[in-house]
Amino acid sequence: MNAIILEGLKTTILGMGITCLGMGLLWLAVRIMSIVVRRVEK
Amino acid sequence: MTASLVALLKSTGLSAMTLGNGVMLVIACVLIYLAIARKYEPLLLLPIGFGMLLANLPLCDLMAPPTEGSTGGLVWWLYQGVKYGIFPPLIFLGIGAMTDFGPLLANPKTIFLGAAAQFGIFATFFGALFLGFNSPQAASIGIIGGADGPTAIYLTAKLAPELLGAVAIAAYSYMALVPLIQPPIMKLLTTRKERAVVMEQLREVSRMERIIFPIISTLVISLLVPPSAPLIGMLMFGNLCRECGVVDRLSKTAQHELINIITIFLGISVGATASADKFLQAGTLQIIFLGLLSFCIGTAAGVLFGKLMCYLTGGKVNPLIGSAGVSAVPMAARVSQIVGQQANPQNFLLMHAMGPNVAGVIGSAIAAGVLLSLYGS
Repeated sequence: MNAIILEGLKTTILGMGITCLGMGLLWLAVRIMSIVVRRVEK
Repeated sequence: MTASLVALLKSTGLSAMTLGNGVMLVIACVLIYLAIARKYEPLLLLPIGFGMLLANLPLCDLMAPPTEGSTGGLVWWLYQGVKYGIFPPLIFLGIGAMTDFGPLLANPKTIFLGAAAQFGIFATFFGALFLGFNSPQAASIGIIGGADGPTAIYLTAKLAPELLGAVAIAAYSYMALVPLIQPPIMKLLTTRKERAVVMEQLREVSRMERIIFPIISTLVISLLVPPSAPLIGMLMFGNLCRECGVVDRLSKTAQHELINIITIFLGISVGATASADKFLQAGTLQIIFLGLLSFCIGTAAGVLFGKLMCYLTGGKVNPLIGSAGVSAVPMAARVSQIVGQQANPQNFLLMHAMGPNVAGVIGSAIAAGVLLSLYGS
């Protein structure tokens, strides 16, 4: 039972952590891109 | 004469028919009925149902691998496109060519709603482990909550091919049932005042932003989670073809002919993996239950994160758009619109919900990449 809980926790923390990190980096990249593009287009 | 007649009868499929085959043929006919009469995800449930029907016809050997004496069954050859992970990314190419990322670019913070809704995948992974599935199988069951058929098929074909039929059928069935599954959860977790929040109109997104987005998305996500690259790469290439405006022929082919052809091959070959010996097990019922759980938890996580964003922005975000983070494009966004309009007839949430909706496609591909990194061979 402990092994199952450990495995589940490991995967959930790693999985959600990397998914959120990936989406967070994407958000940052989109924000920077939008700011730069809007300045260039002005 | 009698001996010839007996030999002839023995060569027919009827003589080799088992109870399991009979039950599977009935299930196949039910799926075909749901696709045609009820229009439940017909583009995929129809080929899946027919593939299931073909695979369970005795002595037809459509899923038989090649041997020294035979060239192998037709569907077995089609299945190689699923087994080697070719068809799902090609479907993503078509989806990318059809997707407008404008609402996401106009309101980038909705990206986080697409991430939050992936929680259902990992919570269900936990549940599947408790029910006795091994880790790769649990990952394949959890991904049903990503509400993204090609991603679920891609991951399951690599991690637990023995579950492919059950996972694909559960994923597409629940995607068709999104209008029934999501509204009670959305209403339960939000107040009428929150559901009535009117969001500001989205800004115009320039052509240059639309062209750069698929390139930076591919770079950011593929560098962080390389196993996601086949799905994200094809999705974004399809989108680049759409947005750049110089390869209309490629874009139209990806949106129509290519995705249609691959959908036929994918559906028939996935359905054909649901043979009686693999499908008629207690595990299939558990997968169907866990798939529903995954959808519900993903929806709840998206709405709860939407509530948090509503609070943090001082009431500028309607929490209902969070439920669209589970993917199921565009059905989940339409559900947000319908539930929002029930609370406030002046509310138009569709375009706002499309942001988390398309972010959910990216989020589920990242989650699949993480699971592949952890449990892929």
